[in-house]
Amino acid sequence: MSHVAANGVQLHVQELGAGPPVVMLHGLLIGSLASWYFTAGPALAARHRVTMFDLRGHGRSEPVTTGYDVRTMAADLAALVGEGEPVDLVGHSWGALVALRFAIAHPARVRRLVLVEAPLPPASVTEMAAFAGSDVGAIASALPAPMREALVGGGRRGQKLLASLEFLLGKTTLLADLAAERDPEAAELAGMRAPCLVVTGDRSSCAASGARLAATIPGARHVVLPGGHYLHLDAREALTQLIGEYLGG
Amino acid sequence: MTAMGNTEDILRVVEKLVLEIAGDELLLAGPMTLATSFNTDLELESIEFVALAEKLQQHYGGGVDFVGWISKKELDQIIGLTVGELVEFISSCRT
Repeated sequence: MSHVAANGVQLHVQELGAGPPVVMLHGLLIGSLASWYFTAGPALAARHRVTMFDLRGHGRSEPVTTGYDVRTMAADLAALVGEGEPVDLVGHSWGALVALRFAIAHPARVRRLVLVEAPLPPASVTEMAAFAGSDVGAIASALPAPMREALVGGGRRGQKLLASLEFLLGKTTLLADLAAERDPEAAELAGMRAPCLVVTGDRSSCAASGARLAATIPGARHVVLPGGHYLHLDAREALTQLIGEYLGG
Repeated sequence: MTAMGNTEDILRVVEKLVLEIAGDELLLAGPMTLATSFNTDLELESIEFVALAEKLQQHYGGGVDFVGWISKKELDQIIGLTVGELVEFISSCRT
C-alpha cells in the first residue's frame, strides 16, 4: 500500500504483518510513519496487522495547508480505518492526542489505546515551543541527535528537513491549530471505555500530563520509561516490549 | 519477484530504486558503490528509507524481509548502514 484518500487528503500508508489491527500515529513536525517503522512497528507486526501512516502534511502525505487540529486529524484516522473491526491505537505526542480524540468520539471502534508522551495542555511540550521561533539553533537543540546533526550539517537531509519545517510552520495553520487546541473535558476522559496504557519518559515535560491522564481515564495504567519526549528513540527496546506485551498476542 | 543475481546486479537494482525515490542528483558525487553510506553519503531521509523498503519488497518479493532484518539492528547500526550491507543481505536471501 502507498497512498490512500481519507477525509479528502492523500495519506501515505504502510502496512506490515497480519493479525488483529493496530494503527500507529506519529508526532507533529519532525515525525513521520518512520518514527514507528524503525522502532516498535516491525516487532508488533509479528502478531498484528500494523498500519502506519504519515499525518497530513507530514512525510509523504499530501502537503495540505489546513486541518492540523486534533479533531480534523481524528477524522482523517476515522476515514482511514473505516467501520470494520475495532483497532488498537498507538500514538506518540500529537498522534497520541489524535488517538485519544478518536477513542472519545468512536468508543466502539477502539479496542485498546497506548498513549506515548501525550501532551496536555496540547501546546505544552517544551520541544514544540522551540519550533514556534525562527531560530535554527533553537530548533536544532530540540531535535533528536540524528536530525540535529543533519540540520546543523546543512546537507541534503538537513535542507529537506528545513524545507518541511518551513512549510509546516510558515504556510499552514499548524501553529495556530496547536495554540488553539484545548484539553479533552474531564468528563470525556472519565467516560472512556477502552483499556489504556499511558507511557511517559522520566526526563519529559509530559510526565505530569501522563499522570493526569492515567488518573482520569478509568483503569488506565501509567508506565514511566527512561528517556525524554522522543521515547520511541530513547527507550526503543523497552517501549517496543511494553507495547507488545500490553497488546498481547 | 525477480532473481537475486550477483553482487553487481543487486547493487545496480538498489541504485535504481534509490534514484527512483530520491532523484538523480544523488549521483552527482559519483556512482553508488558498496561502501556508499545511506546516511552520510546519500543523506536519505528516514521516510525515503521506508519507501526503499517498499520498493525492495515489490522487486524481490517476500523472500527479502528487509523490514525484519532492519528491525533487529540498533538505531546506530541503521544510521550507519552501507549499500554493501544491504546488498549482502539481499544476496543472503537467495534460495
